[in-house]
Amino acid sequence: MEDRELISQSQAGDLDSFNQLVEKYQSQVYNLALRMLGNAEAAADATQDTFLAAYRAVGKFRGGNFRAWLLRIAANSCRDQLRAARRRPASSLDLLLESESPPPLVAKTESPEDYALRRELGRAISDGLASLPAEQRLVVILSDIQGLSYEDIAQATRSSLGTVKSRLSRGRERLRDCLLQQRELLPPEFRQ
Amino acid sequence: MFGKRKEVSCSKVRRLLSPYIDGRVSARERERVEEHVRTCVECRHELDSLQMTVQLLHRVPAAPPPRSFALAAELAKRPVRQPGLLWLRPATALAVVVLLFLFVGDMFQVFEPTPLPQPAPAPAAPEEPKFMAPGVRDVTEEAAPPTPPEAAPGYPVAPPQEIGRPWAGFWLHQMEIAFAALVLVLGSIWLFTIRKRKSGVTRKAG
Repeated sequence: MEDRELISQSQAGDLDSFNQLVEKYQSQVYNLALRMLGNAEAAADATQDTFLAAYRAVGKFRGGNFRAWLLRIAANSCRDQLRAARRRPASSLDLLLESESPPPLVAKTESPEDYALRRELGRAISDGLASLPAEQRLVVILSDIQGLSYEDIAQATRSSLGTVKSRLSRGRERLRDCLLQQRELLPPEFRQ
Repeated sequence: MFGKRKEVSCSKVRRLLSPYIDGRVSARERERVEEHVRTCVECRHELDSLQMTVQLLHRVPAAPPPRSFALAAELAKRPVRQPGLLWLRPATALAVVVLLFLFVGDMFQVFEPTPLPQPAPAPAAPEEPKFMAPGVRDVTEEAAPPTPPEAAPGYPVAPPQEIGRPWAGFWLHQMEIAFAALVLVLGSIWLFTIRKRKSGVTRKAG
């Protein structure tokens, strides 16, 4: 069924239709939360909060890009989690952003050494993302991991295209600097 | 001189590198970037390293969600407003109205007690015509200056508003303070509940 139909049925209070939307978008929401928070448990909480808030607010959805609307709610849930962690003892924010088991980068056939290296690189990327300011991290994730257009990112972050561009540019530069400090982890084609 | 010009040019081009990678520059900007990186090794390196970063991020795989996040019927029930707080908004509004009424009334002295009716001064005894010879002054008028009409015998000399209910002004100010405090407390509770609710649901939905 088309999103538009599912959305209008959800707006009429049909939970089954809304849950079809949940099934469709839960991976993107969960992965955004996982990359923003760096912690699987917190990401699952933020994902659940996102869908609950979305269901309660779906009546106010006035068309446009549903995915960007949902990711905006997800981004707010992540900000809430980060804010709550900041209020707790100092170590909890570090714990939240400390990636437990970053999914390894994709590769078909490889040696155990390459696999270990790939895991390390995945961890380096997660650490690099965690070191970015939250708003830059959000834009980098939405653009380069989730593949959203600048326009959709602007809608999801409620900011202008200029802000999206500058945050993305600065976020990429900072992440690049982090990765270049661990050049030995980079795939051979990037080591020059 | 050329070094400074090159620096300016480099900084302008570097600002374009990220949107250039995404194909979000104009044809003219693209041309400028490509022309610049052909001759500037540093900017070429900058572009290559940024492209590497983006490519690595593109390779990051999606983690499978640990479970389904479909909402259960009980969880999805729309929140019912807490009945205990239903009175809060009308109570705050009422307190504000009363406070405004008191303030405005105080400003225009609506609550000032009307002075008690003062008895009309006793009609003066008809003055007997004095027959004096021309050029002779009446010494009795000079010796006793005319008494002010307020100081009529039997009534205290005081502003008329304090005569009837001198306690009214005091209680008015007490009530103003009390209602101001009430508005402050109710308003704070109301704002707090709104903020809490918003941070829960509305803010997320943006």
